[in-house]
Amino acid sequence: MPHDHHDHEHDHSHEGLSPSGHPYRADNDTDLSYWQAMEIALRELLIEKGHLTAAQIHSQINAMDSRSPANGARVVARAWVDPEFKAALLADAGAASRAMGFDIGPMHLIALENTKEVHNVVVCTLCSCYPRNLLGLPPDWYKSRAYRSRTVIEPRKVLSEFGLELPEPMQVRVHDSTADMRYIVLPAQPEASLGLTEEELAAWVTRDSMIGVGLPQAPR
Amino acid sequence: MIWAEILPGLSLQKNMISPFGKKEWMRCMVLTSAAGLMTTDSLRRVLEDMGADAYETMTYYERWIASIAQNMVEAGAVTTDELGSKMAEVRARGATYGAAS
Amino acid sequence: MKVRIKSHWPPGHIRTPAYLRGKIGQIERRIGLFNNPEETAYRQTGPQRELVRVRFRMADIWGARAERGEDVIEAEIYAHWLEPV
Repeated sequence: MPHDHHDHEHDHSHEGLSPSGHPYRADNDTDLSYWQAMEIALRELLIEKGHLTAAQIHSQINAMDSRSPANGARVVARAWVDPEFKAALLADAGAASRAMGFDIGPMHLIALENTKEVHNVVVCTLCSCYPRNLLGLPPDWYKSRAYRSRTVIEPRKVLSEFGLELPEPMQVRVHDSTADMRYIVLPAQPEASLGLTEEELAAWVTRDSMIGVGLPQAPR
Repeated sequence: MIWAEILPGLSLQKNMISPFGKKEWMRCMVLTSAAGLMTTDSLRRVLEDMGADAYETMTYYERWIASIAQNMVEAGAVTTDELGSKMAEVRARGATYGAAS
Repeated sequence: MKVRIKSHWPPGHIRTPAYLRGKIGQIERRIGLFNNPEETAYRQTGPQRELVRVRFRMADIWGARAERGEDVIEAEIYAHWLEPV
């Protein structure tokens, strides 16, 4: 079963396996492939012709590298402790995230509130749209044809395969990210976490709970 | 074009061949950012036009590089000839990605 | 407001999922004007189009195959893909 990962994603050795269970590749040491040669050639041609500068490349990579589920977790934790912020988040999640200091670029973000009656889950059936500008890269399973196709027809079965069983009376809302909006689920705060500080709460918010295939949980 | 297939019952563990690592993805995203040369949807359109076979025979990264290259050529930013010559120059530098960069 | 997604099958880059075409839903919210991906995919820039979120009952999409008829799907659909019911 795909498992969640509390820490933000980073490309360092993790006993040889990434959070999605794949081995890390030492890019620089592998034999140069046709496509890698093309990648390098494209970058150099674009710089030579003035379409990109090394400085732009550097600053974009830094911005992208700083994005991870930890950012989203902080947004959720703040919504749990601050009702005004929560209202602002639900009204305009992009503005609220920027107000916290996150550089999400031009992304249009909608926060979806889980309640006792409603459970939200996000999918992109057409490709793999994901709020990368806040959360970083999506997990591999999110991009799989299996997830993309099954979640819109049998979401409860998919959720149960992630270990999440929902009571019958709850309504499941599946959000298909088809156009310019990106989505983050605002999970319900677990009872057991009441009274913790905002910083402590951020550690409870998993990436999977912000996609909707899991619930927040106590850090291990 | 691709019409997303509905595949009930397909195992969630069945992913595309090879993951798209963060470094690879960032290097591709940087290429897509050159102003005015392509859009998110022109990237997607070329990926869709590759057809379902490409899912089986190419990695995520390879499909993205192929789409970015086609977009650059369509935009008139590079010619296929220039790209071929530059690729030969890159390969002459060394046998690994690190040596050729 | 009740709307039907047009059962329209053009070639090209379309962001209206096949499984929703011909289906009836409710407008959940209007989002505003955006570039039309059907055009930007080919580097054409026409007028911006209105984008709308539409909510569908699972029963109205999948019929008897639905896991639970009152669960819903919500998707962003361009207004030129909607027709009145």
